[in-house]
Amino acid sequence: MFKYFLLLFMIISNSFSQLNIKFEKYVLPNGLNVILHEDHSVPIVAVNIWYHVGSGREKVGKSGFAHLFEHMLFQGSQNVEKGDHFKLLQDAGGTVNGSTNTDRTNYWEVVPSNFLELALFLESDRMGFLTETMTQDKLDNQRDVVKNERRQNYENQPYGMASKVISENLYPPDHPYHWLTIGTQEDLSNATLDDVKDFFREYYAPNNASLCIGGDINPKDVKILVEKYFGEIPSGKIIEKVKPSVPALTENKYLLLEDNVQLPRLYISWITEPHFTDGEPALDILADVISRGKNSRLYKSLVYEKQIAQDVMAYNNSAEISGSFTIVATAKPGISLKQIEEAIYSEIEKIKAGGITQRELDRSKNELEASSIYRLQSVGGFGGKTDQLNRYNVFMGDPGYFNKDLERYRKVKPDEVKNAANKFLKQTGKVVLSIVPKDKKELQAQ
Amino acid sequence: MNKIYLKSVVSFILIFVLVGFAVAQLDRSVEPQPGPSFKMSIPKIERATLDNGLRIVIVEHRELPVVQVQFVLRSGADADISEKAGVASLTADMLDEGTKTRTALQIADELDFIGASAATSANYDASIGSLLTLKEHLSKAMEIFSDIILNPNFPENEFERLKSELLTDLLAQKVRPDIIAGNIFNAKVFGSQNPYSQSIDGSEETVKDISLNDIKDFYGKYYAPNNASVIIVGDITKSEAVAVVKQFFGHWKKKEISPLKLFNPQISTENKIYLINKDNAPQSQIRIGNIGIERRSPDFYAVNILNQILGASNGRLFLNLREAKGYTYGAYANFAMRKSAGPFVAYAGVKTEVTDSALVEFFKEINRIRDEIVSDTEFELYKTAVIQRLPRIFETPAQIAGQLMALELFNLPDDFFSTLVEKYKAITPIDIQRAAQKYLHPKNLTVVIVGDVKSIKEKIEKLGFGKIILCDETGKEL
Repeated sequence: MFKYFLLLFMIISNSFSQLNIKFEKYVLPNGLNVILHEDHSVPIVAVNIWYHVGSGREKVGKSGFAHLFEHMLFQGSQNVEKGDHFKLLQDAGGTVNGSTNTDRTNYWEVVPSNFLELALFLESDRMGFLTETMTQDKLDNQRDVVKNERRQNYENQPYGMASKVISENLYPPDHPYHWLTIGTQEDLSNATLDDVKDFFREYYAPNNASLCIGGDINPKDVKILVEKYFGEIPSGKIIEKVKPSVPALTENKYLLLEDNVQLPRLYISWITEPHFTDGEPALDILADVISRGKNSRLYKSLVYEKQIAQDVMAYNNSAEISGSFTIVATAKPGISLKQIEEAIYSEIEKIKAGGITQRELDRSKNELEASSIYRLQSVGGFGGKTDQLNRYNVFMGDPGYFNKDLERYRKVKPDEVKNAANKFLKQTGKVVLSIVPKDKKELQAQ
Repeated sequence: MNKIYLKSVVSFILIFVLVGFAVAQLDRSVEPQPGPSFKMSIPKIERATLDNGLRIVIVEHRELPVVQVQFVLRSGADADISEKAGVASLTADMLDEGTKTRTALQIADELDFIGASAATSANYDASIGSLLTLKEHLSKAMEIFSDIILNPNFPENEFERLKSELLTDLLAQKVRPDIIAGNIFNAKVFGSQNPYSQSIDGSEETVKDISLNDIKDFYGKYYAPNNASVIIVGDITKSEAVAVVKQFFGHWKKKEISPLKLFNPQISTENKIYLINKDNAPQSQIRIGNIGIERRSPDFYAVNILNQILGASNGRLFLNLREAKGYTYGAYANFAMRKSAGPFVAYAGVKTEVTDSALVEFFKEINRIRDEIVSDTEFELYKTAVIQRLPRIFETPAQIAGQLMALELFNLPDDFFSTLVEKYKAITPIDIQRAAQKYLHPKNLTVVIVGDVKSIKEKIEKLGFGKIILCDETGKEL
């Protein structure tokens, strides 16, 4: 889940300039950012809310709080019984979800347009009136659910522990990207009700949130409803911005996990740069050029021609505090990860020495531009228009950052991609993880 | 008391009331009620047919400069012979691996360069090609798209590559108890000669015997304009759409298509419980069901509401097994509706120690919805949820094209969507019970459980729910 989310995040990091996404933004006296976007094509409304808090705000020994909160927010609030949040929205024919990453937590609902008020009622009640009904029982219950989730999605999932091992080795123990969003079993066990309430009061205040409402709406009516449900929620204390902190990795760390899998898989990770920095667009394009489509360098070499890998992907995950670039390849049966590793470096070295072609660059830019339009097809859900407006608002203070973002990608030159490969994908200073079937240690890299 | 005084008191009260209203704490104890019901926006469907029999379905959708194209061939995995299951799917996969004038790499490069995305696949009912492109590149994209559908040249080396990838995928799935359970369930419910008994991708056993000639045969037999439709949704008029389809598919030659023979699934006459061992598995994967309903059945509406009550998230199985009992992360059911009756299946992954208790609850719920009429309150709730969900199914061109595909595959009338709401509204609790009695067979269920047999077998035997049969991981009886 974590990994997929990173991917999604990377994919939504730009958009198309010819398209003007009309929106209106205003701020309530309590600090809540509100963004309205009209789209009357179908009678649905998307409500999307971002809290600018993720596991990157957690302290050593208190990991997993932001994500635990994502769970607590579905456990009822002062005027919403436990279980009712899902039930009321599902009875309305709506869909609901939420997710947490290192930098933010988002929640969304998509409902038939006549149920907008219900969605606003539910979102506002849990923003303003949650701690009163937060009991030790609910906390214990959700802590268990999260532990089960951890077992199911990490510990018992084939390749499930990869992201944990990689984060722990890319980042030093006091860096907030050292631990996973889901937290450690130990920290989850140690969390007290007061800890959790404090975390909520600090970060789940309207002044740390951005509410985007899109779809079949009448802005005049919606403003009245937003004021009605969110206006009375007091603002919290001022929250300092997080500061980027990019660690230096000066050695190669080779790691091995034996797992209940059929095929060995190799992960190679490097530290890169935070998001919206100058280096990010070239890194994203580099990831595209080496692993997107049949003609991409690694796919073509490892999967298509040599047929030593079942699949390969690369992604640059630039986030708020730091960034990393990861290549993942699954070996065909009987192929050692050492062979996979060498084949990967051989392609990387070609780019470092010879750069990429103009056609590769243009292909990548055209795909980026086209997909930025395709992404505007849905108003709600992860990656939909409301989610994108909120993302730009939370990180750049401008929901309409689409054009500027795309411009960053448009102006990338072939040499910048080559330079990015040389600067970041270093021979020394990376984490290399081998996951192999039980008792098949001989298949590991190095 | 003078009049003036009175007047000022009144206005004072009036002001007080107004101000008071504005600052009064919002009463949150009652959740807001929905506004007046939305009006479904039903896409306007237009049609044309080319001389070679190719059907064209068009929906103009002007929101963004994009066009979604869906090529639908009315033959899919249901046309596979069982010893060669996986042929329809591999044939679809082979389409973009080379044409008379383009290599696999050229096809990918040209499509990627214009930011178009194309994919080919098969399901039980159809073989499908889909294309999403910017309007400005429609002509180029359609030229390549039609090339892969009309002129594939099936290179031997690409076939071997894809087959090896597929075999590797099937190998990797062997550590997935959920997939093992699903595959064995289908095999046991439908019996070996029915195409629905096999996975769309086939199995290691069938795929290894597939040759390139099988692929060419399938293509030669079924890929023809008179067996297909092209659905176009997006920033395009009917005449533009017809012109572009005619330009690229107009010269495709008609051919005789041999009709699929209908298969008679073997109907079992007792409950059978198949146990597949996974040593020390912390969870048991449970599948329970029987042969269900075909897509064209007039019971479509009742069965969808029935399934919402029984098997949706927040349905009875979910509320019972997850919320009340805490046996599982989720328990669900569904009816796969295809050209012929697909499976009804109820399923969950449950903690090993409660496997027998979970079975009891599954059986209880399946019986309850047949034996007892659903209360009006419960019924209304689920029926409303089904109806309220409808506006979402037409948001994007891809969603609209996906919906239209059902019209093409199951010969449904074009007013199918505009009558959906009223048809659902006409369903009553009695219809639900009738449908449950017709499509759920609690004395004739197939149960498949993948789990730690040594800890669950004895307890399941004690239930006396049916004959217990041990199988290996391919479904072979031990």
